[in-house]
Amino acid sequence: MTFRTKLLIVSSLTVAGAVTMVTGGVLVAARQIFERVDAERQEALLEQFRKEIKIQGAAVGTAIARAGSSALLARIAAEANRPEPDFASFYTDAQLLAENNGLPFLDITHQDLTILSSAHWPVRFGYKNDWAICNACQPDQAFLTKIPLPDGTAAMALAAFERRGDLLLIGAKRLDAAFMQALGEAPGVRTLLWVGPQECFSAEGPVTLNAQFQNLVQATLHKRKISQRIGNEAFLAVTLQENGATFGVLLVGTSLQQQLTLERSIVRVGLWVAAAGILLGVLLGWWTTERVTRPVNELARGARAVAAGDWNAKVNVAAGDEMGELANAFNKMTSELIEQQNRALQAERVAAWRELARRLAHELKNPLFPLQITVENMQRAHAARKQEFDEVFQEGARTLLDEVRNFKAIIGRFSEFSRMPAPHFEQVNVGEAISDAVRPYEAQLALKNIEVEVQMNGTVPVIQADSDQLRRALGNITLNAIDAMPNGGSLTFSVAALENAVRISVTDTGEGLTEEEGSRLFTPYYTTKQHGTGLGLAIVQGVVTDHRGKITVESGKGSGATFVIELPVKQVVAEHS
Amino acid sequence: MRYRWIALAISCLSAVVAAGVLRPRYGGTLRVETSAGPKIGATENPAATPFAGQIYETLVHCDSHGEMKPWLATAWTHDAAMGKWIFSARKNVVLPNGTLWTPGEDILAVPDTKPLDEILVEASLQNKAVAESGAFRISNQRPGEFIRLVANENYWGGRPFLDSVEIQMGRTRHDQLLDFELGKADVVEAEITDIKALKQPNVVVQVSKPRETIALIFENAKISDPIRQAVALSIDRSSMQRVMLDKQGEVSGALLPQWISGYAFLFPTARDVARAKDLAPPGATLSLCEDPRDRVLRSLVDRIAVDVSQSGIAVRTAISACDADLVRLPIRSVNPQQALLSLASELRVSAPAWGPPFEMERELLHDYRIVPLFQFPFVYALRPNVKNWSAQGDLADVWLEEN
Repeated sequence: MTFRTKLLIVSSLTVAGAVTMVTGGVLVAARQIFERVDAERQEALLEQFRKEIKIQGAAVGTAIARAGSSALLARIAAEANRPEPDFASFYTDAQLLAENNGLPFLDITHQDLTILSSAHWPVRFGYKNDWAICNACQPDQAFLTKIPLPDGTAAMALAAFERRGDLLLIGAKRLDAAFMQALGEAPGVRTLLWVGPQECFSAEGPVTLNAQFQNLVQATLHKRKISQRIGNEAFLAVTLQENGATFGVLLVGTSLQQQLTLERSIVRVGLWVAAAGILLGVLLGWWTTERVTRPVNELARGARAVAAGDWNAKVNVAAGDEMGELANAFNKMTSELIEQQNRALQAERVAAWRELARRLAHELKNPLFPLQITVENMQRAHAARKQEFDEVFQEGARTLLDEVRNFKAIIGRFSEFSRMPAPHFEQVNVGEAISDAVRPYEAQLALKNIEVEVQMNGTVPVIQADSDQLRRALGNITLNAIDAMPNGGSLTFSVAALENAVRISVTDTGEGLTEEEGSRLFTPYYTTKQHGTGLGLAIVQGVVTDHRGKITVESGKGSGATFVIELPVKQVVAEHS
Repeated sequence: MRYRWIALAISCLSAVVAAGVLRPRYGGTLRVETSAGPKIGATENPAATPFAGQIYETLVHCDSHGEMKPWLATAWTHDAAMGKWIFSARKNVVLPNGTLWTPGEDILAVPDTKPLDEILVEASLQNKAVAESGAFRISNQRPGEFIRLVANENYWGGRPFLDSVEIQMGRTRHDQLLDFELGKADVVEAEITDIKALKQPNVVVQVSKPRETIALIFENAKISDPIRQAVALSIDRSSMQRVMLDKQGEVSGALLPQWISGYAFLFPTARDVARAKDLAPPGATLSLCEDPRDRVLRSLVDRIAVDVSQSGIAVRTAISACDADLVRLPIRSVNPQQALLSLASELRVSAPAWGPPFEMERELLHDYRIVPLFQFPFVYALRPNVKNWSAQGDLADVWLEEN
């Protein structure tokens, strides 16, 4: 991931995080305000419900009192005073009284609560009234109760009673949708009255409660008062009780629609702000990173160019800040590197020329001295003993020829190194190549008391190589090893197969190399020997390189040296075609 | 002396006027409404079907006391063993096509070798010799809805007083009362709970002896015996009759009323909630049908539901597909055995073995699938100008006083 990308992500996340925090804070604050307002509205409606209960209760009490003073009830009371009263003819009178006084529920009972006539359930005559349970209530006091209905359900109602002689007149008004309508629900507020599992209604009429509401009702029956959010409404649920008995649950719900709308608006605005912020952050980040990363990229490009060998690479940064200083330092560094490289190359070139001159001087001086001696001998022989001149001349001429050949050989080796031919690949058995390379030096090896061992590890494949060049390279290494072991030792060739390659390790038990010697070992004309040209191992490296192989040396002073050559089994045909 | 003659003349004149008022008057159309359905037909027992006996006749029929009376037959004889019966045909019976009724030998003879009493003879002849020879003939009809009868001028018993009778059928009692109050009907059926309200100066209420049994019928065979028995023991018949039926009708545990069988009191009617609770299995449920058109039965069903629920049985009422149904069972015959067989047939239950009526009835009721509750009379509301009306629907003697 690039620095620019990282910077863009960081800036975007920062903007988004800030917006999210602000939006969340506003949301929480708005929600708290709404919840407080909702709670106040719910409490207000609850209070309104209690007031309505009192109002309706007073109305029921008035209606009962009016019914109690009716002539009809007086006749029933008179019948009750007879020795053997017969109430059969009053069977339907409760309905008449109920209609006249606007009471949906009305029972005329004996003082022991035996029903003489029932308005809402006429056929219950003779049974006990079981909903006038408010023993502590006074005749002018309405009370909540549950009235059993013929269909098996029960109705919640406000009841009141009136005594008339031995009779009891019990009437009630149902707490139903009409009652709920009288509460005057404010917009966004609704009330539900739960009376039983099968009966619940609102101001609009009967309501079927889903499982969430049922659970809320059941929990309220245990805890008496609960606030809970259901869907898009917040509900306050309280039990309706009378003298310790619970008759139902009132659920006051306030719509959360406004709150949700506001929340959605806040979230929507927050999202827009976040999106705009992120976009702005991206643009600013892009602009910033562009300004920041441009010199960095320039530096990276310069560094890559330098790494690729272009030491002339320059970084153009016009900034006057730290990046500008860094770019200037980079440019200065490359300039210095080039200068140092030039100096090093020049020094190396000078050193090489010096070495070459030393070698040439050394190589050429050696044959010159015999030539000089020979010529002087020939001059002296010619002057002193002319009769011996022929013999000296012959000897001198032979020596001159030998040294001339020696000159030619020296010149030939230099010439050979200067124009190494391209390898001619053929199938080469590595073991045989080693044997062919070592054979010319067997006499020297024996003379120096050096034991040669060839180890073929596993099955070694035949490789594609120039057999002459490979033999010459191995021969040079062998010759190098002979020189490294003047007091004898062992020379071990170890051959192993690699994946698509063959590794040839040549280990001697000579004095080994220092670290510096090891690093310069393959440099042309570099030698540690008194009579070396410094071309032997350079030729070896050249052969190995031409075979797309590689050569390394492992050595330590006094621990011998091991040359490791890795050659590919197959050569690329196109390259040598 | 002169005043004496004047007084005598006034007395004679008053007697003549009074005789004119009380003497049956020919003419007029009687408008009758009934809740009965399309039961008027030649294939039915005319004597047992309201108004059908005014059109169709058989050789004999039972009178209101259960005795066999001549109808198309004027006389009959039988052998000593009462196994073979021979009837004498009425001579002057004219059929609608103007021909005389001349039955064959096979109609007039009961050649069974098995001894038959009069009741069996009457029963065997009910569907054997039906002739459209009654006092009235069908003039116009919409089956099941309306029928118009006109007087049979050639009726062997003499022309009936009424010129015609218009019968509206399938009318609810409520609609009948409305029509009666609106002057659209002269004779309507009424509920026994309406008797008190109907007793007004311009209404004549005629109440028959109990002719209808109100019984709870268990239609669902899956309702177990203990539940049925618990239901029977839970019902407070007396309270219902005293309060809801305004002391009309009779509390009964029997299918047949006391005046027909004479043993109805032997079938218990007392309520025993404690025993019912013991019998009712826990969690027992029962659904009762209530007919929304029959307000008396509907209120009785509501009360039964309250009573039965006291025994721990959860009761609900429904319009259809119920376990039990409260029904009206008209008593078709004053002969107990004949009536019981007719009831068994109507209820589609196995007919009891012929025998003493008490045994037959006990066989019908022993498993509590039929729980009789009350015996209802037929109640008719008549206009004051309708004379000689009988609960048996004998229209031949009915006449209309001139308004």
